[in-house]
Amino acid sequence: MYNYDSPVMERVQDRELADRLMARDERALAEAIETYGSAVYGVARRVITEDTFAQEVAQDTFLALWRRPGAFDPQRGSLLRFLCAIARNKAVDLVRKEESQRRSAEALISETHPGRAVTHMPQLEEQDHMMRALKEITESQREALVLAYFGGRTYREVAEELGIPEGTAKTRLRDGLIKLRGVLAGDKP
Amino acid sequence: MTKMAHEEARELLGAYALGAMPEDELKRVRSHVMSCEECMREADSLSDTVASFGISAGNAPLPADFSDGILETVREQRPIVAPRTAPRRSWLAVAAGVAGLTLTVGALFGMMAARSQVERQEKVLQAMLREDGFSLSGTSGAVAKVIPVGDGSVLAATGLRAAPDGHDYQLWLIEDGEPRSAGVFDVEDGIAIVETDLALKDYDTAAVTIEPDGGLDKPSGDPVLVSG
Repeated sequence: MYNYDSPVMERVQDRELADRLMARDERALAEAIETYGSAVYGVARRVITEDTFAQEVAQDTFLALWRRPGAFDPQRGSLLRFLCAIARNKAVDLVRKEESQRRSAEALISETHPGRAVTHMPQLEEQDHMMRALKEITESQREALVLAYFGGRTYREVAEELGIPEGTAKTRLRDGLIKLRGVLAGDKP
Repeated sequence: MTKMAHEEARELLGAYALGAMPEDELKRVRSHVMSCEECMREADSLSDTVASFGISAGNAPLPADFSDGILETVREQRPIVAPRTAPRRSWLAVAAGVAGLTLTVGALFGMMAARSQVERQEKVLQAMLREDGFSLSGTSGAVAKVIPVGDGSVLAATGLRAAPDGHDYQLWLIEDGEPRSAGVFDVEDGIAIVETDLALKDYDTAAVTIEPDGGLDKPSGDPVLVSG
């Protein structure tokens, strides 16, 4: 279930872009890059140490969208979420093969602190919404989520790097997501 | 492999949804999730939250040549994509020609049990009639279909000549232009039925080439059969 509404205009734009991509309209791809490129590149940079590798991953993400536009289903969520998930998976694949591209736990945790603007770039409304939601989970839950998702760590590695028992790592990941889901669905914390 | 208990699997659903499972435990959790409606629903729902979390990395200013690099690649691939019967197509172009495919996991097909020629022909026909999977065609009149069966896939082909001496047919599943070998095979009376562990849902294209006996790591020639 898609459990929160991103702004209506972004959703309408997504549908229209998806239709035009299916019709092999290259300008639609250029528009998708213009709208979501910075966010997608942001994900790749979060995961990978070297910018050139991150750029390649982000570019590959848009090429994947171009090759298989039908893989994006507007019913399941926004194009932004879809592209960021592809970028994350491609980036994590890379760092799991190339140890040297792995970000340290300290870097991952400090750079993704909510409210800490890494750049002064304006955010999409959906991102703003997410950043606000992230402030509602505990610091330790956020750290575990960041390490697992953007760090590409398994829950066992999360436990090791944070110096906590494996059971605690599992619980933090699960409880963090459950809490986040509640906040996004509109529950009052 | 021991079966994973419901409670144990539930504890792991967060890590599972985040793609943070160690290899050894992943299969066990997945097999529980597939057989437990409650866990499947929860895993789906948490995956949805993970997708939302994924947009929180923040924006990064794009390098100057970012967009041009993508659009150039798209343009370079454009001319080779158009004709389906073009004699030579690059692997990237093959992948680029495929739009989105929706696959459903079918019931067990029972194909490998087919012994007699008549049975084999019937199995091939059944595969051809399925709506899911990849349909392959080639210039020689041969046709084939790759369909999802259980955790893997099955290729059913008909109209293929025996591979030349010292050669085998090799099946490739391709994702984003990256071919992965799904096994080598030969044909019997024009029919081939080949089982592979690779799951079709991870790939966007299927192709068959003729390769030296035993097959190669990467295809060396043009496909004799290709989906798209």
